[in-house]
Amino acid sequence: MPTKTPLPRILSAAAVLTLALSMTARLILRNLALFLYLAAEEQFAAIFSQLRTADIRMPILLLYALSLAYCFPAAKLKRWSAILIGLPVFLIMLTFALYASSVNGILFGDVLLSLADVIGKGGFEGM
Amino acid sequence: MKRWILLIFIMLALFLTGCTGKEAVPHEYSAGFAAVEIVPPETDAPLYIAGYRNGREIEGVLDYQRASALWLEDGETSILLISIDCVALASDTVEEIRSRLDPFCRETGCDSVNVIATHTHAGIDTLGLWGPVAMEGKNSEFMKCLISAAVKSAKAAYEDRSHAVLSYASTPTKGFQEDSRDPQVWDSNLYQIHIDRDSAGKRGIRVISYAAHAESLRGDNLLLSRDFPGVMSDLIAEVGEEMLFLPGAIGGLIMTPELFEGDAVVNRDLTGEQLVNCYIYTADERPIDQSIKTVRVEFELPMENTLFIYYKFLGILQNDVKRGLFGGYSIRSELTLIQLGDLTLALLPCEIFPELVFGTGNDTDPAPLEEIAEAYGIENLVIVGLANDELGYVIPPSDFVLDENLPYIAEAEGDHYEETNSTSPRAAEAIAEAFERALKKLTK
Repeated sequence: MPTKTPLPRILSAAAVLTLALSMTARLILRNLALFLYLAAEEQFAAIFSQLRTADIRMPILLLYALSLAYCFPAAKLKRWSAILIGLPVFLIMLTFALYASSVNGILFGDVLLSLADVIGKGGFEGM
Repeated sequence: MKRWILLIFIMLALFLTGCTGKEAVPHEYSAGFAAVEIVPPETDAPLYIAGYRNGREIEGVLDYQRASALWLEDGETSILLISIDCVALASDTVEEIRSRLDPFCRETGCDSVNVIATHTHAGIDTLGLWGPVAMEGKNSEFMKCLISAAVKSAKAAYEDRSHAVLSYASTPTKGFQEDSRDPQVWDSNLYQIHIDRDSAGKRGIRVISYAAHAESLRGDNLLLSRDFPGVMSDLIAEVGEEMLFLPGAIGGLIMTPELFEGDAVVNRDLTGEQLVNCYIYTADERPIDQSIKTVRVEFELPMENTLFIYYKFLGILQNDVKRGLFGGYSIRSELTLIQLGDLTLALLPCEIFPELVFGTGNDTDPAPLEEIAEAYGIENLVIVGLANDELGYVIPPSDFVLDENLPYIAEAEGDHYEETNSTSPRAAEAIAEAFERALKKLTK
C-alpha cells in the first residue's frame, strides 16, 4: 500500500532548505572579500570588503518554490538517496541564490557576468 | 423695503472691500539668506578631494566649503534653495537633508526644498567616486557635517526673512568659458536674480547662475576651496550683499579658461574677480513680478553605465535604482521647475550639454529644452544643473559614442570622455520628456 507523503513535512522541509540556502548565500556574499583574499586577489578583496554592510535581499519566494520542487519527489526517496541527490541540488540552488541575490539593489549575478567579461577583455589590467 | 435696504448694505460692503473691480494687492516677496561653513571634522578617515583623479587627499585649506540657503515666499508659496559648495550630491543625501527639514517644512509651510551643488572641484568628495578605485570616497563624519550645515542654513534663512523686491538680469559674458569638446556651444549668459531688501534694512542677495565648471584651480590642486564661486561670494559680501551660486548647463565640458598660468590660486581669484567686476553690477536689471509657482516631477531613465552599476553594487552610489523584470537597470530621479514671475528656473539633476538646451541641429536628438519651453509660453528660461541629484553628463544621442570593447570603462576614440560618466544614451530623451511633463503641470 503506497504511503501518503505528509504535506506539512514537505512544506517545512522546503522552508528549512530555503533558510539554509539564503543564510549560506548571505554568508558567502558578506565574506566574499575573505574568499578573494585566500585566492590571492588582494586588490579585489579590499574592494569587496565593502559588502560587509551591504543591503542583501534574497529571492525568498523563488528559493522556496525551488525547494518545494526538490522536496516533493525527495519525500518519496529513502533517506540516503535524498541526501546524495540533495547535495548537488543544494549547490545548484545555492548558485541560483547567489546569482539572484540583490546586493544594494544590483543582482550579484549581473555583476559577476559583467566582471568576467571586463576581466576577459583586460579591462582591469594595470589597476 | 427691507430687501432694498439689504441690497444697498451688500453693495456698500462690496465697495468697501474692493470687490467692485479694484485691483488686488500683488503678492509681496519675502526673502531670507544664511550661509554656514562646513568645517571638516577631526577624523582618522581620509578626506579625498573630488573631481579629478582617484585617491588624493586634501592637504590644506584655502577656504571652507559652505551651505548657503535662500528662503523665498510670495505670501502663498514658499521655497528653499540650498546651494552647497561641493562636486555633487546624490539623491540619497538630498533626501536626508529633506527628511531632516520635514518638521521645519510642516511648521513653516515650505512647499519645496531644493539642494544644488556648485560643482567645485576643490571640495571633499561627496559622491564617493574619488576614493581609491572602487572604494568608498565619502567620509561619513564630513557628510554628517554637510547635512547639518544644510539644515542649519535653511532654518537660519527662514529666520532672516524680510520684505524683498526681486529683479532679474541676463548678461552675456565674453572670454570666460571654453568647451573641451566639439561642437563649441555654451550658454555665455550670466544670470542673476537680485533680491533687494533695502526697505527692510537687510543685506541684499544675489542668486547667480553661470554655465562653467567650478574648476579654475585645475587638476593639481589639493587645497580645499569653493573655487571661483567662493571668490565671487566673498567679493559681493564686501559690498554688503550675499550670494548664492547655481551652476548652469555645464556638460560638454564647459569650464573657465586659464586667465593666469602658473598659479592656480591667482587664476581662481582672477576668474571670480573679473566675473564680479565685469558683469554683476553692470547688469541691466528688470523687475520680477511677484509670484512663485513650483512643480516637481519624478522620472526614470535607463542606467547602463557599467561602472555606475559596480559602484551601486558596492554601496558607494546610493541612488534609487531598480532592475527590470527581464534585466536592465533604471535609476529614478527628479526635475523641478520654479517660476518667479515670468522667469523659470529648470532644476536638472545632471550636467546637461548646452546643445540639448539650445539645439543640436540633428533630428535624431530630442527637441531642445529652450524650444520645448517656448511651446509652453516660457520665454525666460534658466537652466540649473546638479540640482537634487547627480546623474552625470547628459549627452546628445547623436554624439554618444562608447568604446566597442569596454563600454563606459574605456573612452571611445575621439572626444568621448563624458560618456564614461553618463547613465545611458537615452538620458537626454528622459530629461526632455520629464521637462515637458513638468511644463504641462506648471502651465495648466
